[in-house]
Amino acid sequence: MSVTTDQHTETGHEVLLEVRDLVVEFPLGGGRTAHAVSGVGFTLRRGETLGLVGESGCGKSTVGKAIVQLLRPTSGEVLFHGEDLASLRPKSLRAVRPRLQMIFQDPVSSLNPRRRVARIVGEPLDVWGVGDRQQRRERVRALLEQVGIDPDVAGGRLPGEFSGGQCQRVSIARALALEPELIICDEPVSALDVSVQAQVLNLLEDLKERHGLTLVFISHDLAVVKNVSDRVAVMYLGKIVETAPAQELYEHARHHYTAGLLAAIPDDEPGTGRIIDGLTGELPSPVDPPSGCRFRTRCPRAEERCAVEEPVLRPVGPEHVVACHFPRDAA
Amino acid sequence: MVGDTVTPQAPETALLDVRGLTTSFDTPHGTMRAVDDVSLRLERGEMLAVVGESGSGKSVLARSVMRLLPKRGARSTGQVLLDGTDLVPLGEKQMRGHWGPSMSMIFQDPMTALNPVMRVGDQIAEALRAHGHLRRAEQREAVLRLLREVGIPSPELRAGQYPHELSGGMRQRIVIAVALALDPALLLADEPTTALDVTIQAQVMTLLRREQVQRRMAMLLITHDLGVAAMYSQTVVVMYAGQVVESARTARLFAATRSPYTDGLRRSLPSLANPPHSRLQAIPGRPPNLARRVTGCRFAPRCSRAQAECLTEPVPLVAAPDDPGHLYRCRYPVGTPEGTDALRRNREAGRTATGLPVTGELVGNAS
Repeated sequence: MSVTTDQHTETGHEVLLEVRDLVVEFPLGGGRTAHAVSGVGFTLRRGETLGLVGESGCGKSTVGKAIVQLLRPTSGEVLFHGEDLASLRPKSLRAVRPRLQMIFQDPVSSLNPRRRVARIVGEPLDVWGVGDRQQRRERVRALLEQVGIDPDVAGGRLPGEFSGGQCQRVSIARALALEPELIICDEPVSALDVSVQAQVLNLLEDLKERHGLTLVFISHDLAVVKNVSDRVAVMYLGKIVETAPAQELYEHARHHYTAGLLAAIPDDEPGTGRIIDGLTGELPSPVDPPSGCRFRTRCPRAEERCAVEEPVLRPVGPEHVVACHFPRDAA
Repeated sequence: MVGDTVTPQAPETALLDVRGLTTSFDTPHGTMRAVDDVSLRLERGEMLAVVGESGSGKSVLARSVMRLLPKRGARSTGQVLLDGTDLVPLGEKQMRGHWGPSMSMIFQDPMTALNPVMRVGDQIAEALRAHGHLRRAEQREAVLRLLREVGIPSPELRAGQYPHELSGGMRQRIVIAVALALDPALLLADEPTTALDVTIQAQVMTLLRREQVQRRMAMLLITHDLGVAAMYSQTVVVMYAGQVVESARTARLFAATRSPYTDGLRRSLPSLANPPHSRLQAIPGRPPNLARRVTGCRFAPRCSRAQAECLTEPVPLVAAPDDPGHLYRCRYPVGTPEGTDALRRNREAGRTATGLPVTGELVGNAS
């Protein structure tokens, strides 16, 4: 089932991406199946950043890969400009690819260690035969300058000579090479130190502004997600449990999982060993997810109904939807 | 140097008293001082957090205290006094008597810390057996008790399982059980929750804090996460490029931050208190190469307050006039008239003494 928020998209902004009832399953052999993503839906308007947040195993990266068709979804639709990418033939899909790019978590391993930086950034241009050689060279220079790397000094070096933060800048330059409309950022700053993380986050915000990019920002870090997102979707065990405008989600979390995630963040508020009243238990297996509400095994509010009836996403405020039979008060 | 230790007012008998510890490595590019003249004190029943980014030397510090450095190419000087005994001159054989009952360590990655082909119950039993003889039944009872203590559900079942059958959070609990098996006086934890999800991190930190209090254990927590340090520790030591740049009781450090680096770290963190799309105050540049000797302040090239003498004169660790337990390594500290003045001068000049442009985005702007 997919509940999208189309009813709220008539604000004049063009819908760039709409994901409908996305399902991704992995066969495990012996007739068993991992239900990685089970009916995820959302819309994304041009120029918007959607944060996709959740813990490991919630399916957030799988959603990202399924959007750009690095993974073919089991079922569901990924509508990009109204065209379903999931049902496109490889040839037509290839024609769309330049407009969709992805940035990965580990900047060092996502760059070919034996290619020079200028070549890495220029490769998409070579593949697509953009301009002549001279134009491509100038474009690479401009791309590197945009991400804060000196093309004269760094262009001829190998990724191994750079720090993680600089490698991530190179990845970003490469992602921008074909002037994409949508970039999926999968944990782009998780491997970086905080002082460098801030530099890269600021850079992403600048580039988004300058190029009118639309971003899906996948992260486990709620503070980072809040900083970059217009809207945030919280995932748990293959499903979206809550979606809301960023500020609203953090101020008025209605789902018990969202509240638990927020409570678990140490808040730079020196305590005297305050014990966090966080979530108990661990993520159940996606091979055999709990019946009804998938969060019920860790939920402080779970009742019998939660085991029997699966909660669907329903509106609780402007652009705010939650999948819970007993949501928290709007306080 | 004023105030050589972190808590000078503390009683004489600190459990751990590190004095002028320096650890160097031989590298193809010369000798690298990963830990440079670090001193700290830790009492029983207290948690001290060492905070720093990659390359700050925090993990090497933990390994130097634990005496777990590689045999070749690494050297420590200075003193590591554990209950009055200096560990620095001790060899591996002598250290074996200390590892376990006196001190034990938890590492970041629980998968590599555990033996993949040994049942987890046996790994805990092995730690118990290493010092002293328990009868089989007693041993099994002790293993189950430890598993229960670290919050493993159905311990009888789990004891017979292998690490790969457990989740990351469960594995880290097993590692903690192994570390606690001999009831150590000092527990070193090197990024114990970095590989874990945030809800599991909260559970594991709560467990560590509880055990630490109940056992009156001293704990040295190595972390990159200021939030974790703020929340669980009583004392914080901030390291940068091998040196201590600031240390104080935790509440004081956050209430009256003096080091521009600590301040910069705090400001570069996205905060849940700020609205979306708030501009982050990133620290420009990168940490220095430790193989190169720096005379002046190591943070100066990235610091918006840097003045000419920051580049040429060594900066000592000094105590705050109003709190002798608060040490910082800076001539123009945050929140002081000299610091504000230096910042104003640089802002007027549009650049620092190192040529770093001072714009609205730089660290320490608002103070």
